[in-house]
Amino acid sequence: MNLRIDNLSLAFDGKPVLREIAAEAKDVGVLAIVGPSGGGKSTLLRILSGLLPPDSGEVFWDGSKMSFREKDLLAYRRKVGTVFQAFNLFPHLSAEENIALPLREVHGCTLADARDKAMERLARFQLKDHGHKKPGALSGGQRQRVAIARAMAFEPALLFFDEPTSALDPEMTYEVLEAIREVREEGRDLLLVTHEIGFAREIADELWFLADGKILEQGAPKDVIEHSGTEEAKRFFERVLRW
Amino acid sequence: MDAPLLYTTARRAPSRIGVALGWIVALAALAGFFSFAFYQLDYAWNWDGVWEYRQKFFTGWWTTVWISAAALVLSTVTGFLVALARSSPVHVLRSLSTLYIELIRGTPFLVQILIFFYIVADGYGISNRYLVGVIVLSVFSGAYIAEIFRAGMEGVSSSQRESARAVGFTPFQTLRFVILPQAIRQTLPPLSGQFASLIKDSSLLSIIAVNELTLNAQEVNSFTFSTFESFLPLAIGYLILTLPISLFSRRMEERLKHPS
Repeated sequence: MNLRIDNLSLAFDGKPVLREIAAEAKDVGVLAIVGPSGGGKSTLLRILSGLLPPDSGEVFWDGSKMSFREKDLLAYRRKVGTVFQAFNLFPHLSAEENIALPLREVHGCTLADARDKAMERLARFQLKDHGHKKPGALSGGQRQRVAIARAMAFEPALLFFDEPTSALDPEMTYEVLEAIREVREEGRDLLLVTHEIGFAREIADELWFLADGKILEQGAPKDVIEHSGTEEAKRFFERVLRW
Repeated sequence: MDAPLLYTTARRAPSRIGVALGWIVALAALAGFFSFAFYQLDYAWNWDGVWEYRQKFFTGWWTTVWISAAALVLSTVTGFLVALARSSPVHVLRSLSTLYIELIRGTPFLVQILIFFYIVADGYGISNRYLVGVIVLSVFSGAYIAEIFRAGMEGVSSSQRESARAVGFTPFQTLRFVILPQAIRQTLPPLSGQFASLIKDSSLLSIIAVNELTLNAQEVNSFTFSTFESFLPLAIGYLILTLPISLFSRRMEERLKHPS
């Protein structure tokens, strides 16, 4: 992906969340955004995934400007996949139907085609025997993997992950990170907001450090983590890597 | 299996005998309570006089059934549309629906019937009192149902709406595939209560001479002077309609539970 952000600002009820953000990622497969809680990471991801229009500023994907009119955003959201922290799935539908319903209603698949694709995706994430279960009967890690399966069922070129493991215990976190790695191995571009610094360093080509509504650091993950220039970033990485 | 409300400790599933015994004791206590009262009253029952008029009960009951059924459908449609209007981005729709809900819920049904029958229906040339009855009952009940629907839809979490947006659903698809199926379970208990109320409230239509169950019972009473014998069948006539509704709602609630 080629992503450029210009002067992006957003305030909630007069409180600025993003302050004139500017950053660029050129020819990047995986972009990870890290930083302290409340710094605006999830808000930035929501704007980039077409869920939230900014107050001002511009976003360019491969050089073309992103339109924030609701009609265009809807079309945009139908091209990208998004996975949230938790509560992604529709609780009244089985795992299989969670995947198949958007395929039928949004992407125009036939009943049989949608079911086949859903089962194929579930099988890829070792969830073959869980397709008939509703989310309430799945573990947290299984739920997130179903959510990932749903987000990539229509073969999007770009996927967004908003802290996909922060509600999970370590074992489940491992399952989900493995699933994300598999998604990457299929050659899809990823943009992820995460607390898993180790995972970000491993998988990302580019790392942005976002704090207090500003991008303070950007570059190759190793450089950003080991040689951060700002005090905030230094302190942050020191703490999260301490234990 | 009901969720424990008061009891926080896990309970064993109740035995059949225990359940049956519970019902027997409850019914016996109720029967005893009223038997004693009637015994004190030393009332001379006159069922023969009322039995003569049994046909009136049947025709009245049937009128109550079809008026309620028609109003049930119409008020559900009204309530649904008003609930949507209340959360609509169009200001006029929001004000209109709020006005409607507050006026209807804030005034007695009796007054609404009289105003609608003698002023509105008259002014707009609706002369059929049965039609007026169905409309006014639907308008009245629709305001309550609108609030029930609104609460149900608002009860669906915002993360569900965001998920729906993220998978590319339009607002209408979000409503149809995500909000409504989840809201329906929260909505069933108050909705069935409202349906039972609607059936009972239809009795007030007797004041504009809609020939339903209550009006017939009143007439039988005035012919026979046997008040209890006229009104006890009346109560049973309504129970026959309202009990199945609450039983049905409970079964649906069970079926719509999410896990597994």
